[in-house]
Amino acid sequence: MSKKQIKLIVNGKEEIIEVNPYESLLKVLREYLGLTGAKRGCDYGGCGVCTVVVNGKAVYSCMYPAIKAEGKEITTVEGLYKNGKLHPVQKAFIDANTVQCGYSIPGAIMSAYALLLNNPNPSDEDIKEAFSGNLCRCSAGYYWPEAIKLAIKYMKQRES
Amino acid sequence: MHYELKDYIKPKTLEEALKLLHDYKGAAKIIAGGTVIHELSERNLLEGVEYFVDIENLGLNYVRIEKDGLHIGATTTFNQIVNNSLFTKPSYYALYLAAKGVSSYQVRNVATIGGSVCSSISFLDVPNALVALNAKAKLVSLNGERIENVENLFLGMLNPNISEDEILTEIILPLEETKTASYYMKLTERAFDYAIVSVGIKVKLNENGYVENIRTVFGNVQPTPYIENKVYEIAKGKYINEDLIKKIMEEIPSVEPIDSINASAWYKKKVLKVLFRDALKETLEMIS
Ligand SMILES: Cc1cc2nc3c(=O)[nH]c(=O)nc-3n(C[C@H](O)[C@H](O)[C@H](O)COP(=O)(O)OP(=O)(O)OC[C@H]3O[C@@H](n4cnc5c(N)ncnc54)[C@H](O)[C@@H]3O)c2cc1C
Ligand code: FES
Repeated sequence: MSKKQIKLIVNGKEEIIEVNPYESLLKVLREYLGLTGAKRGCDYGGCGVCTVVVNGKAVYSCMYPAIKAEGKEITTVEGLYKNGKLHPVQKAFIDANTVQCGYSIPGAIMSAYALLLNNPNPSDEDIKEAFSGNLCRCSAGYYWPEAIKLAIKYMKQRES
Repeated sequence: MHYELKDYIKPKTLEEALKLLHDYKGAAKIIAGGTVIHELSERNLLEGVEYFVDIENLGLNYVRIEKDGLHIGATTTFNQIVNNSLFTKPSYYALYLAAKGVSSYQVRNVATIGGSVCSSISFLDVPNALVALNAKAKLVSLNGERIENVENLFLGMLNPNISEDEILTEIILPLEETKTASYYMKLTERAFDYAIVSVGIKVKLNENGYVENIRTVFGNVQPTPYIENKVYEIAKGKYINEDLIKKIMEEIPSVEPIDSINASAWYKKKVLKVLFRDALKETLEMIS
């Protein structure tokens, strides 16, 4: 199988890597770039633990070809933590007690991040929709909508 | 996701893509959002495929109203449909509901309208809604182009009536109509499951409130979208009241459903009647 050299922009940093022509973005992030925030769960679009943001949109990296992502801005949960500080969405997820086992959290945080990126004042329905592709088996996912509201508050505080 | 390809190619123009499909005939497969392709690769259903031709950059991402209808580019995603207020109009509402009913937001961000039609899978929602809306599709190859009614694009499960060197470039919906509404309803076991059965419906009434036209489509009842003509036959020119609805429910479905993994034909037959009734009532409510 012939490998292909591609250039990815991950969390603002340019990465040049060799990939198989049809390889998932998830595999490339985890195994080639060592970014293990995005998790591998079902691998078929049923759980959302692999969620990352590509050009401002939440996608399942388990079924997103790495080559398709070339030239696009990729953000993973690792990219939210900047200058020693948690992103307001991360802080809100902690403060709203959303975590039990934690496996679904990086994916859920990326869905939340994409939501607020596109829609800073989401309705309850928008919030439900944004999490429609993320599962949590500990039932701590119940608190995710609350985390969004908290994140909005933190973001406003940060601006003022 | 692991499938041994020789190359993944991202052409920049439609001509370039068509040439690749022509030159690699049979060995090249189109990839749009890649959500069904992923599933096909996992299930070893890509035999003989050596190249993927990604059609994301061909300028096929648009929604525009033209003289002859509403044109939707093939790579328009489900979320682009859901977020475009055009599709919440009664004439197009069935498509809005079908796209919105795809459970994961993440899938809706990448899954395309063209990909859903070209998959030819009986339990997908968007193709059934398109058939209910009388949609047409434009298909282009190096040999020219053809316009087909969407219902003619399915031969069977995973078997679209589309040749390997053709690209579906756009879907064309009729212009908005007065006294018209459409609806789509599916029955699933859990919210994120595929449809056990579904109903797509479009109703046009005349000025006096009598039926001018009804188009009804049942999803996952046959391997391809099933157009239920019985409904129009019974309701043509009539005023729809409870008695008429009961009469229709007795007569449908006019075909024996297929058994599927999540429900028997017997169950589908029973539940379709109810689903139809509810979808029809929702549709009528939007007209009045
Ligand atoms: C987790 C999950 C849940 C889903 N839930 C639903 C649901 O509830 N309802 C529903 O309707 N669907 C659902 N889907 C399926 C969804 O409809 C399809 O995933 C999507 O529409 C396919 O689009 P795509 O762009 O990803 O197609 P791709 O995977 O890129 O392509 C699919 C097929 O079509 C061909 N093709 C694609 N575009 C063209 C074109 N323009 N011309 C010619 N051939 C083309 C490809 O060669 C391939 O054979 C779900 C999918 C997933 C993964
Ligand atoms: S790993 Fe489950 S959706 Fe991607």
